[in-house]
Amino acid sequence: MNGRRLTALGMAALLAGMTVFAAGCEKGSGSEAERAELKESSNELVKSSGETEAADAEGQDDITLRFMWWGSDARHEATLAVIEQYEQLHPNVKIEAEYGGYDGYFEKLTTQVSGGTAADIVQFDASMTRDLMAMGEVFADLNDYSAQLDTSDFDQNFLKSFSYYDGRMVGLPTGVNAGIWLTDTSVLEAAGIKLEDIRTWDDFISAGETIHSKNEEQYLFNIDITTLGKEGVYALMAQITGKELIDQDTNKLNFAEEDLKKVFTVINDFYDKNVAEPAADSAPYDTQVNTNPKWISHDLGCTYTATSNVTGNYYDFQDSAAAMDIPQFADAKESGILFRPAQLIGVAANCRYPEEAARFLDYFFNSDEAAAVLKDCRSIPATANGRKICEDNGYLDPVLAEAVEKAQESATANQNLSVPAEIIEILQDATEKIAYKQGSIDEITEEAMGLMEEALERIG
Amino acid sequence: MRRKKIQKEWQGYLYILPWILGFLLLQLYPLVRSFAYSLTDIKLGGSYQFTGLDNYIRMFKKDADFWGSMGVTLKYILMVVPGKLVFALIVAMILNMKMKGIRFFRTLYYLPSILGGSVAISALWRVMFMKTGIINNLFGISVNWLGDPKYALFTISLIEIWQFGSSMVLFFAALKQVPADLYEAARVDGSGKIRMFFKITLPMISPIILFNIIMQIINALQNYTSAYVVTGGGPIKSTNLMGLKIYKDAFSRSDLGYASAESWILFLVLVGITGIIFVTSKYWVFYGDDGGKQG
Repeated sequence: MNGRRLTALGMAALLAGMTVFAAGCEKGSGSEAERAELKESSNELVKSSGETEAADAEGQDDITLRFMWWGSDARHEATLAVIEQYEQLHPNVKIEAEYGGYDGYFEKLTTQVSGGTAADIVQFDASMTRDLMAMGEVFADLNDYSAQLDTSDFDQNFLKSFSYYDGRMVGLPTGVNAGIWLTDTSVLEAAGIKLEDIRTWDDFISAGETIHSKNEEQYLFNIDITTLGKEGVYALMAQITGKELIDQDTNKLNFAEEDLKKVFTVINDFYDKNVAEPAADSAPYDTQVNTNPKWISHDLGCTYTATSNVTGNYYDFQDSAAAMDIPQFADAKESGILFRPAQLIGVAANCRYPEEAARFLDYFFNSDEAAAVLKDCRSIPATANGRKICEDNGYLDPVLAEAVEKAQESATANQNLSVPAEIIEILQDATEKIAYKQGSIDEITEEAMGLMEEALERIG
Repeated sequence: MRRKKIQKEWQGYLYILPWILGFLLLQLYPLVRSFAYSLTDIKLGGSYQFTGLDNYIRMFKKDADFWGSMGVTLKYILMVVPGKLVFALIVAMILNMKMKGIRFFRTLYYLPSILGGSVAISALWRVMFMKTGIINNLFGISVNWLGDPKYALFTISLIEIWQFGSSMVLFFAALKQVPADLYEAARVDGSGKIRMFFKITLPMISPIILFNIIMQIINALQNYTSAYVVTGGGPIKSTNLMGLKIYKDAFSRSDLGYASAESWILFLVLVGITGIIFVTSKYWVFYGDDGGKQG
């Protein structure tokens, strides 16, 4: 065997060895010299994994934190700007931004959490808390970092309701999120309808019929199946029962078949009586109703969404915009209006630098500079100072502010934050079947009840 | 001598060691593990219990969506595989002609396969096929490609058919291999072009047709991206392919055990379909050297 072949074989063996062990190695076990060499040759890689321990000139650790969030372009730009501000103030800290749309975010996060690769600072939805914490101690208790992170400027009741899980403060609310019935009053007025005339679901449905009968191109309600089958059903059901969808203690449905039928009848009327655009036409804009060409051409009268979604160019009828009061059943037990954090931001329990992450969050939530850049990109700020800065500088959309105010007054206590994904899917599937007329209301209701009961029994 | 032989073999194994390790750790181990998971109620990140065949029983008895998705997937295969192969063959035959600048066109027609079924392309198709999109405008029609359950699966299929490049290249190579003297002899005997195509071209390239059919079925059965990006499985689950359903069960519902069981059934279906095609292939694939048994 000649020398060259030996070298080749040696390389092959080395490569094989690296393939096997590279993935599993968390820390190099070699000498300091070897480590320095490794650092030099793959400086970026080491930096990004947050394992650089070499001290910089000022004797501070170089720290890399990963921050993951979802949102629109407006939110991305503002968040990136705040990160840049913080990095300038703390040259030894690098914050790597991982951002994108909401589609697939939860799936990505749960996969990362179960694989131990979640970011250090994570934006999540309040409805994800239960599922995430069921996977283990996913988030650090922010109370442990009160020296770095001041939470006194938040509405303490709001924190109590949404930030805690099992006595631990798992995340801080980014903003106050309310359900908003964003209305283009000019569409209503063209059909001779006044906003204040819509009080009940019957009013809403008859207004929709009038609008479509006067102009066949127009519909009152711009809504997608995903939202209608989830938040829509939550609101309607809360009005009927005055309770959460699922009883947290018994894990059983908190409503009867008759109640669900009543909810589905309203949804059926939306589509049957041309209150909403036919589902087949609106389907391509699911979860992005603001991109529907009819919305852009002012042929749709109103939409139901969360204030946190209304950013950037969500609508362009500022002069005729209003926040409609949520329509209610005549005998409604409560408003059913959504009111909760826009999102929560937490620090991963396995974060290597939780103090620094907490310091960043302190800057993110409490500094004037950050508030002035973030504005209302995560709905109306949840801190008093953040809100004041937005108000003083006219950053707040008055329609959003009105919706949040209304929600604050009359929001439901039943925010359905712990409904299992499978139950939500069943409700959305049923809503879609109604919209596409795939059976009678009785059949669809009965089938959905059966599926939900079976699922709850199985999930336990 | 013997020592030298062992040493030689040892070298061979050493060379393929990286692949073997990759196969064992990244393919075989997850495969076996997924079967073990399919017998449990494992969730993402949670503890689990052995539940025997519960997942399989639930799939067959209680989950109507499973059968729905299976049906959608089979329909999808029936649209995509013949559509893609016929299209690829026609283009390959055109590109097999002698004309100026043909090399440029050969490259051009392969481009879609390079762009592939990526998220960006799927997003582009989504916009193109919207009611107000370029496709409707171009043909002056008003078809609801994405919102109407009648057309949605067809629209998704078109994305896959559009990526006909690899099948086309294989057909093209096969067409080049057909001996020219067969055509000459047929021409002398007075055969027309259509007759020559069915009696010479098709039998001569039948091994490649078989290969293409199997590869494309495997591809189509696993598709997920276009359905996820373009329609999200809707409307009313008309594009909820098995790949997408498995993904949703595993990652949206965190129901890993159940999703693993579904994967295994999908795997068995794939083995079954491939097996049937292999068994029937002896009646229609002509290998030149076996005298042929074409029917």
